[in-house]
Amino acid sequence: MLACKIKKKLGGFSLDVDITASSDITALMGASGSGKSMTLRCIAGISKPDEGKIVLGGVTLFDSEKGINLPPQKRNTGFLFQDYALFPNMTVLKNIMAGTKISPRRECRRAAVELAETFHIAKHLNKYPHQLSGGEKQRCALARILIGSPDILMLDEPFSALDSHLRWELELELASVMKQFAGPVLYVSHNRDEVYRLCDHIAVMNNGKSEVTGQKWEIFKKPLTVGAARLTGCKNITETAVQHGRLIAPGWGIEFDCDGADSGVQYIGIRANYIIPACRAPEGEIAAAFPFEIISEIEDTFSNILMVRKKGSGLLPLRWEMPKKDRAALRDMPQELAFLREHVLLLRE
Amino acid sequence: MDLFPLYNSLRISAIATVLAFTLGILAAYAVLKMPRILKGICDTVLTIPMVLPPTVVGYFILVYLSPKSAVGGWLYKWFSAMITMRWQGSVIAVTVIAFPFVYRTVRGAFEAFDQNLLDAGRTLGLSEWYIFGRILLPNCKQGILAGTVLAFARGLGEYGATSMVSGYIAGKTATISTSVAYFWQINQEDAAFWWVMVNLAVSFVFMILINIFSKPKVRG
Repeated sequence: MLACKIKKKLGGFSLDVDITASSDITALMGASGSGKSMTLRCIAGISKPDEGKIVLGGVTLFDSEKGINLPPQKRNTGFLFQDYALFPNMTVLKNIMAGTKISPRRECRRAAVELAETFHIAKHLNKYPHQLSGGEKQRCALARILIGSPDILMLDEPFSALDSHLRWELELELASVMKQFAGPVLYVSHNRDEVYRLCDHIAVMNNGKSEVTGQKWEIFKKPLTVGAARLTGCKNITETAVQHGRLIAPGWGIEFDCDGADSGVQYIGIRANYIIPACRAPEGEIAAAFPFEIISEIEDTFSNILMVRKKGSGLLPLRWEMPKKDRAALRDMPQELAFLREHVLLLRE
Repeated sequence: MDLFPLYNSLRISAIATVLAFTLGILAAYAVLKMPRILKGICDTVLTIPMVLPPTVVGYFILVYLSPKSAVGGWLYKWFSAMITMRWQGSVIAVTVIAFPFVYRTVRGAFEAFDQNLLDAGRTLGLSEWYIFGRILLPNCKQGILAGTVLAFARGLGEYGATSMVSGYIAGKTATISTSVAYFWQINQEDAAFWWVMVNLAVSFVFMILINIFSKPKVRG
């Protein structure tokens, strides 16, 4: 169990994080520069927050009020750095052995060899980091961390240094490592698909602040903030206003028939693949329907993207995305497009 | 021909290099961890001997370490140790002159080093001394070696501070560089020429050694 509530000022940037993580996998999701890595560094003790409190498994790691600030050596955190941070002057075996103080040395060596076998790098024990592939480096770094039995596992964008075709195999491997790990796991990433596949909880970071936290399906279904909506892949977001008790989106020229006009909502969002032809929408569930025109069409790898807007309005375009086979089936364009009530995202800043 | 000056030069430079090596690395590590403003001040102070004329360094050593000065007088009184006009004085002079060469190159190597590796060591529970001795130093080997070689080379050719602090006493403080000056001044041009040739030969051998050792090697 981790509880981390900290503040830190760094030049013009200010970090304001309030997250908790139980013994499952929590994603810290945010754009680059949103303070995800800095949060991990504060928990590990290699950066010092200005104020706040960090408690891990009942042990206070940092408490500005009580003047507690344990050195990183005493925090027992497992930190996987973005570039893995293997010591270039040591072999794989020495690197793994550096992660623990097991004595005598014979025992330490045995434990290291055992872990190397689990991670399929036993045949590279006497190689140096620069002789390893990206995947082998990651495995070596993981073994080096796990040999010390840390209380928390923190992974800082573990796939950013790898070619995309290498990722999948490693992701499966990493998923099982994270599942087997007994303590909390913090997983930093900006990739929504990766996060959805690997994590249970999500904490959304935006401009140094932890905005929303919750179950992953909850966050994807109801992102609540503009930042969370963008990170979970919502492409159509615009400002909203209330007119005669109804929500309108002046930017799109669309009026909505749904709840939430009195909820203090500032923005409204609709995912690109949730836009449907009005004729296919079930009666009574339509939040908005409008005649449209196509501005342009882009063919993506497995889908088609149509940029559309309200017919004759000249307003902001919406992105409408569908699988290629749906596009092929859609020979006659419908008259109107529609959003369903359950798909309209009500957002605040 | 008496080879004492050659022996003395090598002895002085070798001891001074060991001292400058140790002090330079420790100073570079201390400065690396300092906050920015203090870092700037310390950096300036530690680098100054490199830009000062060596005679100014010699002047300060004489002022603070001669038997008439406080520190020098105390050393003389309690240990009967005299620094000035001895080869040991030259060691101090050369150490001061050679120090910035080690300090600056090593500091550069430390700063270029990936600080994440140090942090990784800390999160793995490794002590600061282990991180310094087993991670930082081995990975900055090239820079440390370069600084040491520069310091030794600079020490061998040191003239200004050495001649002020230790003068020229044949068989006691004479070095190859002071010998050249001494023999020229007393019109023994043959001897002066001989020591010039020794100087050239030493420098030549030294440059060859540097080139041999600095050949890029494949690690592992």
